[in-house]
Amino acid sequence: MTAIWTRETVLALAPDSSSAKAGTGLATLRKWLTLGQNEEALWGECQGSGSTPYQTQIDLSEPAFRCSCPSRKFPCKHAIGLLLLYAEQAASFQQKQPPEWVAKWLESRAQRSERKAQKAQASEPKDLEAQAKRNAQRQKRVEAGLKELETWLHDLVRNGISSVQAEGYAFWDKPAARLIDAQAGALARRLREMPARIFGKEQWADDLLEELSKIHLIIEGFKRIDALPEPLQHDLRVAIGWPQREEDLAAAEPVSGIWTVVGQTEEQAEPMKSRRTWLYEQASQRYALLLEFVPRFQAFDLALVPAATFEATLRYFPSNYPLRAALQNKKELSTSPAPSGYQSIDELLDSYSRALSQKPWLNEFPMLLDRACISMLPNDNKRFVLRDQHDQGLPIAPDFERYLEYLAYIGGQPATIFGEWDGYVFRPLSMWGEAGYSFFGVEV
Amino acid sequence: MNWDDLIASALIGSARRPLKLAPDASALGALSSKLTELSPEAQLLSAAALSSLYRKAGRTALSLGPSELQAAPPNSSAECSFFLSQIFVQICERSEYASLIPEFCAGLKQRNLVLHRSILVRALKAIRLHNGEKRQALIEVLGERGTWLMQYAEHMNKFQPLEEIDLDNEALVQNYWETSTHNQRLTLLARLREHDPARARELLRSNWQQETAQNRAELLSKLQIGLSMNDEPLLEETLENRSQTVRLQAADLLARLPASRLSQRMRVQAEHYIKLKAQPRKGLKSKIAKLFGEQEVVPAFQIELPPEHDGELWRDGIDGKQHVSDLGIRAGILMQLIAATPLDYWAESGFDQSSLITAAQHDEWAKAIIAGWVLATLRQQNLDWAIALSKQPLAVLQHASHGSLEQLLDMLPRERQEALATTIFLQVKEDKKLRNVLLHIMSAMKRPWSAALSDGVFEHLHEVITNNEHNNTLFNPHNLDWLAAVDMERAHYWLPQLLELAKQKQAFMLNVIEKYVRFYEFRNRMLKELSR
Repeated sequence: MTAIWTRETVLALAPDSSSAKAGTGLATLRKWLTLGQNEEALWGECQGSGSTPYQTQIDLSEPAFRCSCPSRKFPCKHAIGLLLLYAEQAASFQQKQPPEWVAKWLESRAQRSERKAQKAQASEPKDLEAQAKRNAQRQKRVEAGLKELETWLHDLVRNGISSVQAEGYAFWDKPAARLIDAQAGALARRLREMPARIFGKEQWADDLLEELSKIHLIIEGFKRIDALPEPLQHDLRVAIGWPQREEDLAAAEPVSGIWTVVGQTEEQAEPMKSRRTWLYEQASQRYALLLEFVPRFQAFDLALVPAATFEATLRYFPSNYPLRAALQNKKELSTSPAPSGYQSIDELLDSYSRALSQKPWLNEFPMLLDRACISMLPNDNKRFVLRDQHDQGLPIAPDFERYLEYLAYIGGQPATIFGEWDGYVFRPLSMWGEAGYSFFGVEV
Repeated sequence: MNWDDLIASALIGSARRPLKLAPDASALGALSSKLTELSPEAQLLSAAALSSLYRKAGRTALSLGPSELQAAPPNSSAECSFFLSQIFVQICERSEYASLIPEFCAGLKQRNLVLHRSILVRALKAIRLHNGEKRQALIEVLGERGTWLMQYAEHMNKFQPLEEIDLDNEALVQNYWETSTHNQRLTLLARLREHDPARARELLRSNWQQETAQNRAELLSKLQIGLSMNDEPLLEETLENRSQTVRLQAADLLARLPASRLSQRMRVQAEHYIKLKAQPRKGLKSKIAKLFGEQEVVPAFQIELPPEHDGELWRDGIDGKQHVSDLGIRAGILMQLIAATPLDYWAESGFDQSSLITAAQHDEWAKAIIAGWVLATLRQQNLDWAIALSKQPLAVLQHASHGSLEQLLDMLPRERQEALATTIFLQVKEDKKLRNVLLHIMSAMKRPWSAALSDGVFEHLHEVITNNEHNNTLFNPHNLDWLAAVDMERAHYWLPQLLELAKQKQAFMLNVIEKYVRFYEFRNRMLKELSR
């Protein structure tokens, strides 16, 4: 169990950097009056500023946290500190019977999960008729909205896009608002992101034309959606704005395996923050993408720490090239040696081509490359390439700024590198080197 | 179907430049022939969709030459622990902890540890930020991996590669001099002056003509490093320069060389305008001494202010057009004249520095004389005068420009500083006016202070807290930076007591004391972690 808890994995649990820092300050024996553990849990009493110590407890199976401190952050600094201390000095935690405050909590957790399981079994019958009616309504609204969008798009290319770069947000917001009314939220988002994509960019016209042509493909596809195979229909609907709901997954084939968290990105926004987690299953060489949205001060699923490996069943959302999935159940967290992926860039570009043929809107393509390295282009200290063992390369995203951190970790040795390829640039997310796992973008 | 054609058509608009779909034998050509039925707009958009997908799907890898990256040699010492790394991060992030760098690194070295790979990039930033002892201490705990990384960092130009230039390689230096930016040249010139002043001077001469006046003055200012009479001919020549900025810079440098022709001319001028006479001391004590036949004499000044316009003075860099500090124009010229006169000249009067300074304070032109002497002392780096002036700190604070006292103190050796601070410390309890002086002295003193002085400070602080002296400017909560300079062991002894006392008395400085207690707690944690 302890193997998974390293400083990186523990700090990754912190809801923000100030909690990580405060937690680090508490990860010292001096701050704790008592410490204990059993097979299920860890606990400790931390002397805070008040007269009574805070009681901090961690259920290791999930993991789950609880602390008597008043912090609204979750997990709080005490929990982070306790787990860090465990990661570094597990021997200081004596095996013993849990005190009453720990035993009570563990018991109530067990009861709650039982109740949840019972509830899940007793599924409610749905009002199928009302649902069909809502679907028909939506279909109609989307049809009308897309027709309007098509007229707008054709006007735009008829008159030329040369003046578009200078247009402000309002230019895009107007048609986007109409799409929101038509329940086509994903398309609306594409339009709203446009000004940021093209503003001040050298290649803006190429980028704009490509985006417009993708929207055109979606409109054309939707006109004949009934003639398309079912998975592609799903892809189109998602690209337009139909939501993907976990409860719709019941029909999907469960996929079991041993999954490893190979990469993660987070986006802070008000009031919800989001996280993308890439999983990889070594035996079948499959990838899966988990998306989470939680309120700003809450923590994401705590088991999905980078490099964690667990046995789990997941279900993919229907798609012609399924990537997004939902985790059904997981157990036995541990760490695994470096996973192995593509052996060459040629090989991975082949896979990418096949993926595109199945889903032309594909944005990010996950890829794990073995024996790879990142190198600087000669005579250009701001441009980097991903290099495979055959000295073939792919350009790295121009905003990559962690070359020195990468070198410090890897020391110039080849590593297994994971990241996202968007057809133009590669974005490194994590790597496995001689000293184990490390992810880009996390400050110690 | 060419992408550039598609872009051209999209930019101008399909109405004015419809897309011409010429079917060809390629797979893409075959597909595009199916688009001819569509409207021009749909044709353009469909063709763009096809073409961009086709390009993305057919993307091939870049062929790179073999990698030039050499793998790092393995570390011969173990990397430090996570907790030590965390402590290091805090030392780097908080400026008030920076003083702990040498101690932290020494601790690592003693335990035969090097910095963990996760903090190497931070360490390199700190190396760039600091110099002297801190920089050296950091370099010594980088380990093989860190040293290797530093090379690459320099290669990436993120860190000044200049520091690595071999100054003996003339061609390289010449090339750098000719191709670098002005700021890089300033740095190069400064380094070369330390290494080989004559060559630096030649380098400066080599493209003197092409420089702008402002750049010339800035480059010239670097001759201050390693300045000697060898530079005098060039500087004297520069007094003829058309730009006043350049002339003033040259004159300033010449005034630092008492043997220079400029200094000698100034001496002649000083003889003309300032006369020193001996006169009997006034006051009761002198009268009593006189009764016993002992006539005590003190110096007296007889000053004639120089005229506003004097071509010769003007040529020698004395500015008669602007007000210097808050002196009138003619008094300002007098001050500049004194500041450029060799200090030895005043000794010829037979009076020692202290009596000269005391006398000057009673003169009508006290401000011009004292400010002139202070500036001359700093320029000529005259230790005797620095000692004499710093013994009368109130006079310096009152008459010379801001920061002068600190600069004078900086010239003194540590024992002199300590002695001065201790003397003033004894007086400050009686004379509150001296608090301000003491603050200036403390900020300029070399750190850390001796145990004795630290004890003195803490004893005084103890009194201040006991009497709850709100208005004691010496321990102003906003100006307590000097507490970080005290001897660590003494702080360890005193701070817990002071904290307890401040709590009891609910003293106004409680939060400040707490802040420093935190600093020492942090240091203790660091030492404990280092010894584990």
